[in-house]
Amino acid sequence: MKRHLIILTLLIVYVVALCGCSHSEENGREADKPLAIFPDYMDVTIPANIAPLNFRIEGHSSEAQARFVTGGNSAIVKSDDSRIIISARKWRNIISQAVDNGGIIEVVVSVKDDDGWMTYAPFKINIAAEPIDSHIAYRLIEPGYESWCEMGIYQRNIESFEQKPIIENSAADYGCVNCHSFCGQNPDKMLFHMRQMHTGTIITDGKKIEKLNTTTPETRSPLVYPSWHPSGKYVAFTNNLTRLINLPNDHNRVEVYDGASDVVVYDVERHEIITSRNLFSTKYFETFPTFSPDGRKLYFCSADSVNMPNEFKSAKYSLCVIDFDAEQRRFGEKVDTLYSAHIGGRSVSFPRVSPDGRYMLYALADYGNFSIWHRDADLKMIDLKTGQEVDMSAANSDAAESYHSWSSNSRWILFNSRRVNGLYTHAYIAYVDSEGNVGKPFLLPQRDPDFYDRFMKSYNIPEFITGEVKLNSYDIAQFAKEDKGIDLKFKMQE
Amino acid sequence: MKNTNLEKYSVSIFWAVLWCAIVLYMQIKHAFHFPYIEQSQMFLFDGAYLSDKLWQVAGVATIIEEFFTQFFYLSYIGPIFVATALLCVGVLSRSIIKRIAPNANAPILWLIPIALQIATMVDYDYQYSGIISYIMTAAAIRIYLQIEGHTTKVIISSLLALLLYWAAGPAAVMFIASIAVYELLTTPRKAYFTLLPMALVAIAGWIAIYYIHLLGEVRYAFTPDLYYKPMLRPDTEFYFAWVAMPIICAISVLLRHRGNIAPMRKYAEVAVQLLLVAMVVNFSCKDKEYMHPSVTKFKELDYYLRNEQWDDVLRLCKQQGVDNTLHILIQNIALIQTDALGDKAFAYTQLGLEGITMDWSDNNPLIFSILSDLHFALGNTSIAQEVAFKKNSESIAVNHSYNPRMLKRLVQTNIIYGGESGYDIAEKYIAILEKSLRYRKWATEQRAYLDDKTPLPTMMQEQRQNMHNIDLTYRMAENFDLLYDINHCNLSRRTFEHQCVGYLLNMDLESFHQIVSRVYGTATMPKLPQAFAEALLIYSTQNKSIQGKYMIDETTHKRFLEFQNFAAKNYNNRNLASIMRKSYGETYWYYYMFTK
Repeated sequence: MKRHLIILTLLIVYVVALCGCSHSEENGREADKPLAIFPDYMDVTIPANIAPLNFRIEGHSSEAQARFVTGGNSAIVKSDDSRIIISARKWRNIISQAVDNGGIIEVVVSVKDDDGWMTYAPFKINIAAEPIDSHIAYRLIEPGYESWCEMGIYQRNIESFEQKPIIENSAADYGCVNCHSFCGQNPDKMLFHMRQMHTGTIITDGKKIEKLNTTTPETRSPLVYPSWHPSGKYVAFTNNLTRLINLPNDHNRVEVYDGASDVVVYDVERHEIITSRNLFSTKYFETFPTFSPDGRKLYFCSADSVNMPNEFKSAKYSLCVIDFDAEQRRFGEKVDTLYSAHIGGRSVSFPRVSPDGRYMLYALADYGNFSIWHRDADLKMIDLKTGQEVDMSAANSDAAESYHSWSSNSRWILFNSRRVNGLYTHAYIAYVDSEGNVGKPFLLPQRDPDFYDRFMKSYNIPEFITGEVKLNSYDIAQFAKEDKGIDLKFKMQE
Repeated sequence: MKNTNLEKYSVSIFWAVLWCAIVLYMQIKHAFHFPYIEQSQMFLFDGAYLSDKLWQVAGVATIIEEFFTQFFYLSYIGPIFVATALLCVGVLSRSIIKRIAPNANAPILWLIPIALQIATMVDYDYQYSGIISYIMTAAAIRIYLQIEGHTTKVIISSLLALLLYWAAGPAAVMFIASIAVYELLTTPRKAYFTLLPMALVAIAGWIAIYYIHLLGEVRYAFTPDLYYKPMLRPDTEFYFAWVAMPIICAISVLLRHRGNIAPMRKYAEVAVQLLLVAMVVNFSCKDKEYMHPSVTKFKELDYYLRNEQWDDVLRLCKQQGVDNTLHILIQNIALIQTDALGDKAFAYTQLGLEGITMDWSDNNPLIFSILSDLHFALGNTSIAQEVAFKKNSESIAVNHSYNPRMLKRLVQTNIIYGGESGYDIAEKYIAILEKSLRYRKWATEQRAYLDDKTPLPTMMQEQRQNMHNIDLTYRMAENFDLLYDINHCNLSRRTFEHQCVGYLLNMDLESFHQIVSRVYGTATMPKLPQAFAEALLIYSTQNKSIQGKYMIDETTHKRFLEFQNFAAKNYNNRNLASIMRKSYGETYWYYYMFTK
């Protein structure tokens, strides 16, 4: 009996000690160096509906803990190996308490080293008032080099860590799948291209799937770089001759260039390609079209045509705009220039207008149009209301920043950056407040903070979508393999 | 009792002999196949890696395969693995036959699955997860045959089918087919229950394809195609081993009630079975591209190449000759690495430009590792990296594993590129290599170079310096005078010798001279390599102005005159090429005159 009592007492002492030790770690010494975590979630602004921001404490692999403090409440996450992995339930609690307490979470990180516990200066995570679209879509490919052994277009629920394929090339004889695009951020209305095997453009509308043969006698290649008209009745494309060259002694290791390119618009209902002389000129390389949210303007990039590849550094693209009348299927006669490469000296690619029509986001590089291979490429933004440039320095880095998209509420941008290691592109999310202030971006969270270390693919063309693409990838692949496709007609505006 | 023991001993001796025979056959005929396989897979001692594998269909079989293949670089390990795996198949097959028909006179029937798979073991597109899955399935069939009672059979067969599907993949179909055949022939009225495991496997396969997207196509879910490189389709013979097991079960059932048979007949039957096995072996090995001597030689050359055994490469090429441009490419890499290309290129067999700069526009992954070695030897870091990247991507796609040979190259080339991004990306690959057993030490050593503080080894320093020269060669077509800007180093000599030999192989003496005239006399080409001197003598016969401009020794001049005189005298001789080969076969003159 006595022995039992002793054991019971010891157990109680142990349990009390366990409960009490939560804060004792923070009673250790203060760290004499700044905290480094990966991914860097320090002082970022996040949506309330994002998945847990799991991270690892750099420079340590020992016992650690993170205390998430918001209002008067706190939650502790412990780790044996300095990877802070927060359960979904705990994360939801932390977020909901933070939302009720001013939207700020303070994170106190402590680690144990040979000299005992040490605590770093806390950092903050801000919760924005506006939510983010629940899903994103992206292609996963090996970076560059025209290598496509295994690839796919995937959708990721960013409220959790669930990723599902929209199409994988392993289901379609290992051809290339690319250029996925959604009408607005609508997951039910999308398209993507298939190359090498079962060639064509797959276009879906709810449960309906079509395959298009987009090469016509008048166009020089299948259509690429799509952008939907907000009505869903048109899609703007580029028609180009893309090539890749190696640069053996250049910090940009390869250059992707267009030997020629034009812009066309595809009429979804009539299966017809339409264009005008202003968009289909041999004097200029026109590319990367995108419609304004009201559908009345078509933005695109345009450069003086130069001799490729010898003069690839001379190809500098301006940002232009032309009117478009969706009812009459007519383009305007006049082309306006928003950014002139002749004056600015740099080159624009991937223009994207926010759904509220307020901002124009684009990539700016020293030359060319494939900015993701240019270390000098940065994101730029123009306030279309004032014509002023918006400060994007918080979003940019020394590495390439490129392909970007807007959330449906215009408060979040999603873009690619090579900042982690200079080669693999990763998806980053940044907050844009109603005044156009851009927050520090955060890396797409993963269940395992070490995920990006072993991941050998790049995130390509990340796009927001408002929900899940419901069509099954197997059904899409089967359709693509079996359907012969619809041939398109071509019409030049008189 | 005595007879039983005798049978046991004789069977054990037979197994031992068979095992030794397979080991010796594999070691003697296919010793270089196994290291060739090893370089395209890498087992990682990493929880996340293993857990990813376990979530795949046939994940257990894949883990076992990758664990063993990591040791294939060691002599005899591959042959021992294959012999042991095949013997397991034989032992289990024999046990199945014995269980179904103890009195059947079928002592050799169990050799059929071995005979049908022996050739496949050296097919570089085959994945050993197939033989592991086969063993698992044969074991499951044997376990099933031990079960008595209808209900138990229903439960165990269903559980085994599902477990097999997870651990071994579509091999579960062979399990179901075998037990269905067995039940249909033994208890036809109750055999309907085999529909249950059949349905379970069908559902599991469908879920893997349609809901969790682990497999892209139906053929990967339900046929042995899963054990073959996914972008390829195996030969029809590949499937025979998988069909053989249900057939063996059927034959065993049909033979199970045999009574005593006359000794003569018994021996005759054994002889027929042996003949059958021999025919099967012959059939399964015949006309297999992967067993062709040129493929075997390629694997041997590739082994010497990646182990930097240049003398062995050149010895093999000289002694056994070369069969194709891939062999010549490896031969020429050895010549480059021994700094002998300019002197001795034509002392070895050459078959045109493809032997020195292979066209890879069709993205054929087979040649990528060789191309990476070629361009690395030349100091063309950019291309060496690009093709290494592509080869590693191919390994990830087809083997779901990294290619350690190419990962090492990616580490080297990224360190050579340097800068923050070069070091960051090299560190990523180093961290992966450090999780392997074989490459851990090498990878950790490379960490020393992940900044600009530690000086690079000389070779890598030269590689970094030579990036400028490669850039010049790329732009040479615009203006040959760019060559005056060369950074002279050992690699610049290799770079321009390679360019020049390319022109010589193409018999483009004009372009050859354009380079030599600008590089000759510099530190890159202080003296003319022998083949270049020979080529210039031909060139000078049409361009008198260059005579005397280059230092060509008297012996070469004299020999060229003799060559010309002999050729002129015997111009009408049909056998001129073979006559002159003896004296001049190692000269550029001979190549220029007789190679088409």
